[in-house]
Formats: sequence, structure tokens, C-alpha cells
Amino acid sequence: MRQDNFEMESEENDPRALMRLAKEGDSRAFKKLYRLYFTPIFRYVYFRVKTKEIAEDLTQEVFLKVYRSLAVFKAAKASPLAYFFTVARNTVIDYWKKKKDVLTDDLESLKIADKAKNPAEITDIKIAGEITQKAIKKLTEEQQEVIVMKFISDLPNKEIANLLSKTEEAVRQIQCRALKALRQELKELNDYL
Amino acid sequence: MNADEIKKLYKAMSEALELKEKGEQLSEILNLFSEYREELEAMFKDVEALAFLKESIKPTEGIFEKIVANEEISRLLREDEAKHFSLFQSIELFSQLLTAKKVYVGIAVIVLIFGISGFYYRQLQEEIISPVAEKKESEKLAINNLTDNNLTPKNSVVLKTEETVSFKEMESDLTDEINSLSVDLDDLEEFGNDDSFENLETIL
Repeated sequence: MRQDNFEMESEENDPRALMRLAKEGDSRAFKKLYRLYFTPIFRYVYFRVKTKEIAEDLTQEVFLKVYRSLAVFKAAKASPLAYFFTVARNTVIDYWKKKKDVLTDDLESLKIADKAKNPAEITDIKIAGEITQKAIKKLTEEQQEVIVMKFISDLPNKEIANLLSKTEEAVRQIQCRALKALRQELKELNDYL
Repeated sequence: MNADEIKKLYKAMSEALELKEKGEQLSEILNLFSEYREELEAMFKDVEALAFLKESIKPTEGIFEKIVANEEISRLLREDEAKHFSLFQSIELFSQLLTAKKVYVGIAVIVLIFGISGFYYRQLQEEIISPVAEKKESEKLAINNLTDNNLTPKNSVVLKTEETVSFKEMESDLTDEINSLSVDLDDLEEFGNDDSFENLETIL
């Protein structure tokens, strides 16, 4: 169900076909890949850095890196989605290496979806979002990555396994452990509030 | 919870998540794993919170347009479009020549064949004409020689080089013969004046 968000039915929106066309120099195909992957990549990067602005800049960098390295992309070895996320992961790692910074707890206010009906509801959602994000950041690095990839960027287990060089079964176990740890963190945070 | 129980719980959580992804109803899933109902309910609540969190994280509106307008990206895209266009144009032009424009290709080939044939024909003609020209030159010389020696009329144009050589030989041969005949005549005159011939005639 989740992966259907990425793997479109029509041939002209098939990521592998788009990557092949982009490799041949079709810039329209690359623009389509942009539209397809920008948000999931942005969400992943957002959870790994401090601010939305930095996340947007890094996401842009990810696409530039992919664009420049299209010639070396081999569809037989990796899916376009896994390729984009590998580049995104490395970009975030490079960012922190340069910054020599650490993740802090000063969460930026999230942009709330327009579904909220009144200011009180918006505040509740905002608080809930902030708490969840704070709880995620208390997990181990590995658990954070799996949770963000699975539930924030909607990657299928198979892709996560490829990205982290693990088996699907190992990924499922990390997910379960992470969810259990998240439950504990949320409970503690809610009790504190 | 001991290690074995935790393992079983993780297995139930994993299977429950998979069923939810496949579109199974939450109540059905909870019924399937009734012994872990409490843990699974809490887990799905967290998953729901994560989904909500996901929806709330959105890039700035118009960021895509901003990125595409980025100087470096737009330059790369333009360069690639130009490269793609010129390559495409070349292929298209070539295919047109090979398929749709067969007539023009045919004409071009015929013109080329005629051109090459004409060139070689001209080369061949020059090789044939050259010795004739030399022959004509030698003819003029021969005629001049003959006229200088008053052997042929000045307007003679039909003489060939080979014939000119024969005339010269004939002239020389005739001169030799005349000279030898002159010598013979002198000898005969001497014989005529010899007295011994008259004595012999008398004896006989």
C-alpha cells in the first residue's frame, strides 16, 4: 500500500523508466523524479537536521548530486528510490561532519497541515507533533533511521533493508524494537507534561 | 517479559503491521492477535501519530519551482536539453535521408557516379591524345625536311614519319647506285679502248 505512493502505475511515471530517460539526457524525466521524490527525501532529511531551511537546502543538494551522478546509476543494482535515499543519507552525514554539531532538543515548530479546524486543535496537534518528534530523537541512531524511513518517508521494508545493508527480517525487528522504545519515550514525555 | 515472550511480541507486531499495510481492518488484526491486544493498540496509536507527524512536515510552498529556477540546476537542464536536441536532430536528419528522402539519396548517388566516371574518362582521354600530338609534331618536322631538300611539294600534308624515313634511305641508296654505275661505265669505256680485245676478236 505504502510503496504505491512511489511506484506509479503508468509507464511514463515509472521511476526506473524515468531514471533511464534522465540518463539519456531527458530533463523532463528528471523533473518528474523531482516531483516524485522531493517530499519523502525532504521529510527524511528534516528529521536528521535542525531546521526546515537546512532540510530544503540539503534536499536540493541531494537532487544535484543524483543529477550529476546519473551516468553511474545502474538500475539492475538499485532502485531509483534506494539510490536517492543513499545519496540523502550520505548528504546528511557530510552535513554533520562539516558542522561537527550535535542534535539538540530545540525543536522547530512544525508546519501544520491545513486539516486542523480551530486554533485550539492546531495547538494540540502541534504539541503532539513536537512530542512525537522529541521521542523519536531519543531513540538510537539505527532505530531513528528505520522509523523515519518506514513511517515518515514511507519506504518499503525491502528498500530499507537495501539501504542499511540488512535483511528484511532484521529491519522488521528493529522497527518493532523502535516502536516499543518510542512508546516508552512518549509515555515518559506525556507524564512529564 | 522474558526474552522468548519479547520475541513472540515482536513477531506479532511485525505481522500486524504487515496486515495493516495490506489494508486489513484494525479490529480484525486485534482479534487475530488478541493476547497482544493492549500492546498492538498502543503500537497502532503511535503509528497513527507518526503518520500525522509525516503529513505535517511539508516543504515550503513553491520550493520545487525555486529549486528548478536555481542557477546551477537550470544551467545543467538547459545544457542537457540542448545536447539532447542536437543529437536527436542529427539522428532524425539521418533517418530522413535514409527513409523518407530516398529519391534525393538516389539522385545524389547517380550524380556522384557520373562525376567519378567523367573524371576517369577525362583522365583516359588525356592518355590517348598525348601520343597523337607527338606524332603530329614529328609529321611537321618531316614535311619541313622534305621541302628543304626539294623532295616533296611544299603543300604536302599526307606524309607520315615512317615514309619520310624511307625517302631518306631511298635517296641515299640511289646516290650510292648512281655512283657505282658511274664507276662501271668508266670501266666499260676502259675495256672498249683496250687493244687486246681487238686482237682476240681477230684470232676468233
